[in-house]
Amino acid sequence: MTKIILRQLIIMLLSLITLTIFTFSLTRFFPVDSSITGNANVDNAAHLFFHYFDYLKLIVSGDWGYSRINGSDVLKDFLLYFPATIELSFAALIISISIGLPLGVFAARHKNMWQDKLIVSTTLVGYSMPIFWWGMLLVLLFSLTLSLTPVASRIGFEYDILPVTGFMLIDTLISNKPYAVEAFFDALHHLILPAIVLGTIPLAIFTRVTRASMIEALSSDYIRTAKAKGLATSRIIWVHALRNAMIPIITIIGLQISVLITGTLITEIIFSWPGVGKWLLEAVYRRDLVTIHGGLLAIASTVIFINMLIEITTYLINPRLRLQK
Amino acid sequence: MIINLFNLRLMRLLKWIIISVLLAGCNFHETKSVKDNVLVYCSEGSPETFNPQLSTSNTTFDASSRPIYNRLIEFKPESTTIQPSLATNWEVSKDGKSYTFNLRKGVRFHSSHYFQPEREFNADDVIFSFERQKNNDHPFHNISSLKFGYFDSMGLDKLINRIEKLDDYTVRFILNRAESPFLSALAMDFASILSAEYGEHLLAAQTPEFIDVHPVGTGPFQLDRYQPDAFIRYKANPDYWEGKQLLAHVIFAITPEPSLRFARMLAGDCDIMAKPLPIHIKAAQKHDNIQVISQPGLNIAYLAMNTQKPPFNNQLVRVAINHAINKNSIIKAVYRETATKAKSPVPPNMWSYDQSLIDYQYNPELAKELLLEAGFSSGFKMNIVTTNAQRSYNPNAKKMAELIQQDLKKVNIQVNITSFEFGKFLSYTSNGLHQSALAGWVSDNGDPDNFFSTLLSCNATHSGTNAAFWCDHSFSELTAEARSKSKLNERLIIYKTLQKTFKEAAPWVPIAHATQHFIVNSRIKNFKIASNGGAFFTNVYLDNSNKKSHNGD
Amino acid sequence: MINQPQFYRQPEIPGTFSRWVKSFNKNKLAVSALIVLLVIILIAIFAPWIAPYDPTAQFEELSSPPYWYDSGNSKYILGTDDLGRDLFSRLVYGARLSLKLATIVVLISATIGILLGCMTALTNIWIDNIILRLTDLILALPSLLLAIVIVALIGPGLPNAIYAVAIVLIPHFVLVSRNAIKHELNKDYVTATILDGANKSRLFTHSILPNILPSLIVQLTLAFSTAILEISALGFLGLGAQPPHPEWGTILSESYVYITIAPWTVTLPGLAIFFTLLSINLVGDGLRDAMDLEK
Repeated sequence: MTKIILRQLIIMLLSLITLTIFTFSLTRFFPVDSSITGNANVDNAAHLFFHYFDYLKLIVSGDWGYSRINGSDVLKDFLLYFPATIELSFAALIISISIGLPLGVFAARHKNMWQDKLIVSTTLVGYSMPIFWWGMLLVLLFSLTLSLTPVASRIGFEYDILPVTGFMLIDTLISNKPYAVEAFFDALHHLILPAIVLGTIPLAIFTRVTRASMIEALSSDYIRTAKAKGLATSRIIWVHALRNAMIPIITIIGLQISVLITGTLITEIIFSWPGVGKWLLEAVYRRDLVTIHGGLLAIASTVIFINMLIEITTYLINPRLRLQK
Repeated sequence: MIINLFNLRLMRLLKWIIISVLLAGCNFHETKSVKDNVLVYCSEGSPETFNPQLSTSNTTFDASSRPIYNRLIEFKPESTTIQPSLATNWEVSKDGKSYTFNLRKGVRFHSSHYFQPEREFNADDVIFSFERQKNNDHPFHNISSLKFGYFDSMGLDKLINRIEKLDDYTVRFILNRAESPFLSALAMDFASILSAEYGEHLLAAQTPEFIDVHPVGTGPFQLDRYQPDAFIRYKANPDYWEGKQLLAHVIFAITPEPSLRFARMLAGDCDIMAKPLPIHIKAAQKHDNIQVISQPGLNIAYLAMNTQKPPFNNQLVRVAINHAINKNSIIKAVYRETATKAKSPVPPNMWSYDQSLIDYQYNPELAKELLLEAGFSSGFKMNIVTTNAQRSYNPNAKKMAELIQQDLKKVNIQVNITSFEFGKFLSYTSNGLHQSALAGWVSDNGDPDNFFSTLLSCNATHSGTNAAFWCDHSFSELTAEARSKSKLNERLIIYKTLQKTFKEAAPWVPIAHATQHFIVNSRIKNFKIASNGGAFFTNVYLDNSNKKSHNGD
Repeated sequence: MINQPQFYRQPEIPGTFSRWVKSFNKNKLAVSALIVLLVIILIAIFAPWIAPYDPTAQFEELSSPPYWYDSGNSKYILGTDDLGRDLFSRLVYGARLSLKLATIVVLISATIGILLGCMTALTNIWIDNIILRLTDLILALPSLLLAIVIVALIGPGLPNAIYAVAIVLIPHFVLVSRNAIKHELNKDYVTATILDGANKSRLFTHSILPNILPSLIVQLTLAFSTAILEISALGFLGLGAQPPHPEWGTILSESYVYITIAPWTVTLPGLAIFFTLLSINLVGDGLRDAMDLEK
């Protein structure tokens, strides 16, 4: 148990070191900021090593330099925008799981019938959807034509909500403004459409994976035993089969982090969502190399960290892996 | 245990919650009470700074000088005539070299969590604000990476000899020579008055750079919260010398994407939309709860050819380009006819405009001949720098560049387009890195000098506002001479000569003068456009009697 | 130019090949997707003959809707954009551009990636380990993010966007070819060939390559669809092809401004990207299934 966690921690550390070597060499090739990289003309390999060490010290101590455009602290900026991205991704994940899972199970139960075929081909459609176009289409339909959802941003501008946690849904409720509840629903209302756009591709993938692993689980011996025991069908499906189908699904959830981050880059631009993706792209448009460097480092470390968590979780919930030793 | 989360009943509950939230959201849309004294302005970009001294961009002025600051004298809304503001009255000496201002008493600077003023506005603040821009040794002169664009390009550092404090409420400006546009220069945004006391406070705290980030002014609104690229939130200044504003808050919703801005306008998220595209104006007329406010603009959009770089150091090439570009099609496609064709650097609605000036006609064949004469028989490759930001004089510079690209292809010139975010565009062009650029200008004081010296004088090549880097010394001297004359007629003669010289040298292709538009919700009352196309929120109020008005359709 | 029919060049092993074709043919969805894809490829090849106008030519009619609208003009089947350019011609040339770019990207990344993959698989364990760590790291990161950062560093524009996407795709090829070779190396027939005295290059070309081909082909189709998606995403973000290039993503980003006024300039280019991606993905799925049956 501790051995596994230790192993994953070491892997994560190695990945982080590789990452910092990579970003360090970027700062070498592209003069990012003298405060981060130190003296630029270094020809001695030993010097280079010391410079890397200095760089590492700065990164670890949280000094990631200052934006070239507005002079703000890059790490602080990242932490300011990050909760918005998490909130959006989390909402997308919830939507995709809560729809994808039952849909996959449903398709598996009706394997090779028309319902199944319809679901499978729909997921393929969702899977091939260029997300920037999908976002525009939904805005065109729900916001501009039907006026059902707001056009952009996290909350109506008239609400003055101080970022305490950075999560709008929480901040609205803990703010002691008279309109706290109203603001909460407004924030929720703003969240729906971007979350649906962002959740579409993960939804397609979850449905497919759930379907595949449910089909496998349903054809196994213990299900036949359960049926023979006379258990209710819904219980067999939702408790016995799904539990075993969960393992590949959880692994897939981990893999979706990458998909979600790619998606947020574009979704945040379309919905003018003040998150990390929009922040990073603005920096790209302004060629603010210090911010780009910090953004890459921060997002990549987050991905590495989440991957580690997923590895450990998969291990914990998989009895076979646990018992292997 | 994860499994139990996903049982059927819970799924149904979740579905129900999602649906009810969707519905609830819709209902809340109609009963927004918070909005009743809050104005949301959908602006086109983030300001570069909150100090108008450091900018020449209207986006920055909208967010800084007009809401936060006051000047000694100010322009009346919708015009270029001046009126008293922080100065109650003034006197000009006979030789035109000495201006004495009596200052308003009882004016308080903004009090906020980062600064509480202990004294009222006085002569020290005036001297502080101008010395910062004029005096190289002033502790605040070099703290920003931005330049004092206006102050320098108008040559005020050389014009103002000294500023004297006669007593706490009287200051005198001593000039080196008489100059007629000086008063209107003091009404311009860069002449905003900052607090000297705040400056001292920041110096003591060793954070002088905060003066441009956390502004303290005397204006009708004070900065409440700013999130770059998202919003700027202002609150009414409770101590405003003209009385507290009716609006409790003004919020700038920063929305660079014009279509998104328009969508927000239609959805009722914004009350006022800056810089609608020409196509939006037509579309807005179909909705009865919004209206379009327009005003002929004092502006120009032009292609600046960097005369210090080949091949544009050759006048023949510049003339050829003038002949090769079809302005009519640009006005049709980019402006949808909401602009007039330009031939002079100044717009037709500004005095000094030379009606009789003869423009280069669109004639690709002639252009080819001129290129041949200039030694470019097989054409050449060139680069046009544009901004992807929308400007009041140019709704879509990238599109304009594409049209020019097509036109120039016909005369064998291969055009490569590079497009930057606006701040980057400004720094790129003001340092002369471009070969040619789609630039533009909006008058800030209604004086033609604001075009001739600011855009075409040799001084302006240093301050970076002369995008063509065209320096003709006799031209520059004439602009200075025109400034020193106090009679309109004498100036007019000089300006006509200058326009002829400009036309012959052809450092630009003048393209269009755009009309200024704002789309405004009908609940907004008393909203006015500044003569330079900026937005005025002072004394605006809301009429919420027609609740339906902000529900869009 | 088009990488799609590569497997036709493998006459040495007709048995396997014909079995693939047979099982692929059973998948009706994949076959029809293949037909759609072929049509798109033909459109791309014959774009100058199919498109009625030059993609950058500007006409008088600005933002004219498609012909089935009341105010549509039959001269422009899919209407015109805000500069009066024929949208149909732009989309046809866009197919040419998108497929060409994706092919270049896949060729670059496949060549480098497979070479690196072979190197790591066939050389010592240290290099293998280092390259594996590196590819693992890059694969963990979102590819679009990396591409954006690369473009940000070397500057926006078409050539740079191609390099960026190609670089991002390399690790996939490295990993797939390495794993496939490692997998094959452990098998008995390889040992047998080595015992027969085959040298390394012969062992590779004659024994291993034919066996890892299925996974490489699947990876190629996958990479092809990723390349199209990412080049258009970069175009959409204004970092890829610059106007007036009729690149689909670039067209979309230009027309986003007109979403409230001329929605067809948003819906139609997106449909083009979507159908291309969908057909490639379906073909890829079909190929994978067909080749899986083989094993």
